[in-house]
Amino acid sequence: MKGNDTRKEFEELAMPHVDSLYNMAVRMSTNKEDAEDLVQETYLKAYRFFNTFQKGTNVKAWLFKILRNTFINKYRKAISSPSEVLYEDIELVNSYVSTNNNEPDTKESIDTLKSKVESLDDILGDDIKNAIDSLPIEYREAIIYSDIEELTYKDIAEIINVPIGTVKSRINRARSLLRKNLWNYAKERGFVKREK
Amino acid sequence: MMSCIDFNKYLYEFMDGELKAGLYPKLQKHLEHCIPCNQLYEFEKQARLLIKSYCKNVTAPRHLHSRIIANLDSIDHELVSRTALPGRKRLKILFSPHTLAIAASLLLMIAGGIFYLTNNRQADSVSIVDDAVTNHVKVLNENLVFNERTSVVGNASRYLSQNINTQIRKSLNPLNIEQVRVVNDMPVNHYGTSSPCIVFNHEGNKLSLQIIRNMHFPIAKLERISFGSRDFYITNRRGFNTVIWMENDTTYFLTSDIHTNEMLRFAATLASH
Repeated sequence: MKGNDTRKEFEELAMPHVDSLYNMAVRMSTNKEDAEDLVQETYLKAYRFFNTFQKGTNVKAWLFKILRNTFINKYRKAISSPSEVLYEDIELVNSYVSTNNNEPDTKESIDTLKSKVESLDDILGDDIKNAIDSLPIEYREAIIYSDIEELTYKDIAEIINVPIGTVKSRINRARSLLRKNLWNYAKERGFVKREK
Repeated sequence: MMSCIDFNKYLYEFMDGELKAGLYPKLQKHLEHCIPCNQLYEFEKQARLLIKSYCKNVTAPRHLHSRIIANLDSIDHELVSRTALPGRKRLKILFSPHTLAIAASLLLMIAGGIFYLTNNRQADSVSIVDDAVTNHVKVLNENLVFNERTSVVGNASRYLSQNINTQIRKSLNPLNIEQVRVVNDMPVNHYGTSSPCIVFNHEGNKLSLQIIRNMHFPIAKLERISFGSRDFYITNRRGFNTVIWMENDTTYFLTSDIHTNEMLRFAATLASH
């Protein structure tokens, strides 16, 4: 039986994260009603199993984990651990961030990103939404855990149940894909400087 | 001085605050002196800010808060009324320390059979169902998804007859993926109670099957349902349904959060005919 103290503690710890969970749920299910159900169910489960929560650990990460498992179970979408080829990830990330002058193609892609977009502020909200939502689901969640919720690699590894190395490469891959998407939207809207 | 290549290699981890402590000053120094890397850094910062500010604008609707609070109220209420249930009390009397002691001494003669009951602090008649539920929850939380191929429903009874481990393990370690082994294409793991827990992925829903050998579960007080030619018993713990049936001296506990009718149909395919 749960005493009032447990209830109070649960509300104090868990309720401040409703918005974060809801945002994740919307990004995952891309439907507001499903997202609401998902968040609601997450809180139900979390409260029922609050005694399994390890005090002192990150409650937000714990809630995200329940949300994620509920989502998988309910919507049967496999955000499993795709057998990513590590070197491919590294290559892709490098192709974006590297400034190695020996690779002209690579150099070009950095230039386009950092100098041809007049200002990132010009990119509309809808474009950001589309850029995130068009990512494969495992990269979409990686972006949210890392760039938006700013969870540690360790917490993310715990939530999605993969080793830290995989978390790192997945986040990097997600970021480079997202930057590419954003750039494409910027280009479509003419925010990117014309090439001669 | 750090090279641009190295700077770029560590940039994300630098910004995420996930670098080894000694590297921060090196990256910081490079950042101050290298204009292209500085631009890249600023671009990255701006991109993150943009994405973050967009997503942080999405807030949960007001009514969702009140729905959650109402849900919590109903759980509190449910838990209070459940502990006040008279039926539960009778079961407890049936399993008073005295009867339990007799049962224990009898069962001790069966190799390992009683370890579970005596070791469990709340050795009442429902604790084993609680365990089945706990194991199922762990399966869900550990995100153990087995694909359709390795958890073929039709072949389950074949596997069951071959792979049941009757060794009693007293540890109640939480499940982790390393503890799962695949025997004849069937995931089997040892944890929680003494029995292996087999996870089925049935049309996307997860069902956990726990098998206890040499153990007679006191099911007389549970709801009985005849399905096919067999009797099943149904109970509900913490929002999960458990369907129980017995064959010879073995008790099967099938646990999931799907509808009991669907579970019964599934259980019937597992039960041998």
